[in-house]
Amino acid sequence: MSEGMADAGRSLEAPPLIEVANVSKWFGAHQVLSAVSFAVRRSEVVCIIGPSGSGKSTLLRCINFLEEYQEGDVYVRGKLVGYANDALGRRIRDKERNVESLRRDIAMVFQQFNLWPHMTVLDNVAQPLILVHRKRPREARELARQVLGKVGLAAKIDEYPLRLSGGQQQRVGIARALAVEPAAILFDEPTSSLDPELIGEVLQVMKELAREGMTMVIVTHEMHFAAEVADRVIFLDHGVKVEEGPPKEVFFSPKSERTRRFLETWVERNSLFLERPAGGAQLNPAH
Amino acid sequence: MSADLSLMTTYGPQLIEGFRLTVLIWLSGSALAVALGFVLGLILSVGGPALTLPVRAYVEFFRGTPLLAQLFLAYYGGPSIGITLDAVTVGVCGLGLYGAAYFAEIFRAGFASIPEGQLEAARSFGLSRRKRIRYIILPQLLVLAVPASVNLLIILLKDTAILSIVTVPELTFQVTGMTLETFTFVAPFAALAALYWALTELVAFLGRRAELRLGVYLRPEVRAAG
Repeated sequence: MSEGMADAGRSLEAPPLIEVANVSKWFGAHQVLSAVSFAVRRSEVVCIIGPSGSGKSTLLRCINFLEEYQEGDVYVRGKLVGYANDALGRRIRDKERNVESLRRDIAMVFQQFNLWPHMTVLDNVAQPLILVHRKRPREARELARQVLGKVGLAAKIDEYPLRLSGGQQQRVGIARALAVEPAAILFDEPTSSLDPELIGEVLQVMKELAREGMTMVIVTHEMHFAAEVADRVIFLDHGVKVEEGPPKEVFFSPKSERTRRFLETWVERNSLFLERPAGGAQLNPAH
Repeated sequence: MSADLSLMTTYGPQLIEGFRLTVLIWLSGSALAVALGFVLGLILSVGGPALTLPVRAYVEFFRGTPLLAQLFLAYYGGPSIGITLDAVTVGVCGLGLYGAAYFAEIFRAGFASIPEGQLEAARSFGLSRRKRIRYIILPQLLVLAVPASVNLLIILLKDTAILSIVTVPELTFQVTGMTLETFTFVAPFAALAALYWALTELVAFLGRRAELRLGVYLRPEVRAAG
């Protein structure tokens, strides 16, 4: 929304909007992320793929500090996420206020939608604007109405979320993220809990956002979508970044044996790439 | 039949007074119980150990001992530590403090039942803890708490009968007095039971109305296609 076509001409020299550097995380003794690094520049779409339990969602959640990481750094707009240094230079938890301020800039879309059921669709989108971005209620609701129109839900604004289909609920989730005009949106398996016939409407909205230049980091199992929309694909396995590159490379000439095996099992299940010529032109991002 | 009528004219004013007092004590005691229980429930949900430990002890004591014992302690034990209260005050406070322990648990459980994902979404949008509680948890908590609260209000209504033992001149006290003076037992106590039953049915009815009305967002009755 905030970033128009003018921003789409991205430059590799620009400082990354999001930078993840050598991030490691443990749940107890179990290491879920091992020195993972990657960067996301403005208007880029980065898809994170990998088997279940590979740490994809955890990695995504470190970016807005829904998960704490124990080693390495995450920067958003050059600012360290979640930590600060005390007088002795030791790392300490940042003030909650600073973390909250960071989160105003980075919106998130969840696998289970996580809408607030006691609020109407309109208020689900408007309340973050009112409560966090200090917009006037009237102004916030007007903005919410516009964004809901954009995701095709203008007719549903007065409904309660539990009365919508999964696909509609997730589009509300996307509208909620979009309305705060974030610098980037994090998508945590946005279609994984949808019935197959409802996945398309959500992916369609996401493609539209990508076309408009929204910066997006997407954890997904939708390889077809990743191949079509992503600027870069990251393959994560057992908390390790195994491979990163343009979708064409990762999907058709993966460097690592592990990536190849993962994709083979996926192709066997979906027989998608079998029908396509290798390196097909469609794989270039639409924008 | 004529005997019954004469009983009514003799005892009518007392019974009406007893009924009035029962409703009054129940309403004031419940108001105290809800208000205090709400605060205690919040403390149990979000407080640090310095606050939760005493509150936990409070809840365990008032849930773990009979209301009658608590009333005796307050009414007969109070004066020995310099607190002399009239029976009605003991009744209202006793009922309120007792009910608060249960309301605290109702609100604590409701608080904990808000799905984590909703709170995570609120966090991800930068809502402070205070705002997450105020705008995400509390509105839903008050709805979720309705069925259990109505249940407890009914129990408290019936428990006002226990106050007769510490000489609160409420309905049961009046009826007991009447039976002792007239040596008729079955009819007065049957009428007493019927009266409590009618009152509790009214509370239950209002509770169901409130539940339907407040929980309207929880019923996916109009499921839209695709």
